[in-house]
Amino acid sequence: MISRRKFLVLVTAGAATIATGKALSLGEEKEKYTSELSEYKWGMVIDVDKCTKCVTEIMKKEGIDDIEKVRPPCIVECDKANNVPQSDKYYYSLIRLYMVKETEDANPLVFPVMCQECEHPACVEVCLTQASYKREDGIIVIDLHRCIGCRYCMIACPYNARRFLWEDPKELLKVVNPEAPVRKHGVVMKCEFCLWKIDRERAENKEPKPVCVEACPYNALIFGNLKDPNSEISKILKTSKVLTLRAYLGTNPKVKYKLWGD
Amino acid sequence: MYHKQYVILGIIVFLIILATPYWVTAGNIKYEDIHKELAKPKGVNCIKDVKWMASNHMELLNEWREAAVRGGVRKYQTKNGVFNVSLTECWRCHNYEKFCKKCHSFMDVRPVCWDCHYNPGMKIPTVNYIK
Repeated sequence: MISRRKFLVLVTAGAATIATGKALSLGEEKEKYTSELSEYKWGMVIDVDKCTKCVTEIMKKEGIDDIEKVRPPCIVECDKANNVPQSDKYYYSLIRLYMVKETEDANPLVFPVMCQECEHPACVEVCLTQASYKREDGIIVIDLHRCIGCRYCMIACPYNARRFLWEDPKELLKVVNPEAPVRKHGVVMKCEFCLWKIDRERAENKEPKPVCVEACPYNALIFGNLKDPNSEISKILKTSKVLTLRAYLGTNPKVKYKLWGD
Repeated sequence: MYHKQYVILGIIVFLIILATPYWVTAGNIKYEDIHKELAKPKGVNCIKDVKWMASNHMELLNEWREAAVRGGVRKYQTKNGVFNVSLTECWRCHNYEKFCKKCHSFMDVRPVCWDCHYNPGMKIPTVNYIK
């Protein structure tokens, strides 16, 4: 006859073995979902010298002092293509220009800052509804069907790259790109590397290029696949010195800034 | 049974009142076929079988939404050919006002798609960035 003590010990031991085995096997079963997107990792290199030249020229020519009011071709085309409304009250454009001066009398540098497409995005971490997410090719996308407009992501973003739509874009837009979402007021929007365009071009075996890259007259923006060692962007990253914004945060952005010439 | 005549009379009156909707509208109900009034599409083949599309196009659009936004899939292969995963693909063949909107308003369906997406009924000029 088995004693009560021995019975209890055996039962507990058995349960513990099963539980451990299950926990271990559960970890193995989790397969990572991969698709055609896993072959890509989109990134961008921005030549700050060329941007500075372009923007200072526009400022001189049009006599604008406020950097927020300067509208170089990249911002104009981006707004038109991504159905970004123009408003007097709020700054909606997905690209924002920053002028940096080391000292008071130094030559300024102009940094166009859009979504930096972080490797470790803070905005995705905080999203309540999983509307913001990182796609396999590294682009951070907002699924507007899920966005509830809580703006947690805007607080989390260290680059001030997201905009909240306070007004109905349908009333403010003068032209519409039917391929991109028009959106509604009360959602957050951001640069998604013209996802609707590059996905289509990738499917048609063309070289994908966001609208700002095509619009730039100085060829200052270089877009490409970081996973492809023969792409233009990979070659530039191999040979030039580039800067990532707020690198100390560990977000590891895929948008890099080239400060020193070739 | 007590008061047999009153009970049966009561039951008959009750049934007549219950059936009011039937005999009030008797003969007045017309069967309207909206299919004939809808504009003829330009193309030959729809994305899938026409009958299937008529009843299930919303499910296809839901499927496309997930595929395009989450998976980055922008081409859809069926036995009728390859199609762009986009709402603009609909009015390459169909007239929005005379086909989509007409049937939706007849059926009293209000798709929420147009809250955020462009449709040709919006009367805003368009630009095309995809060559």
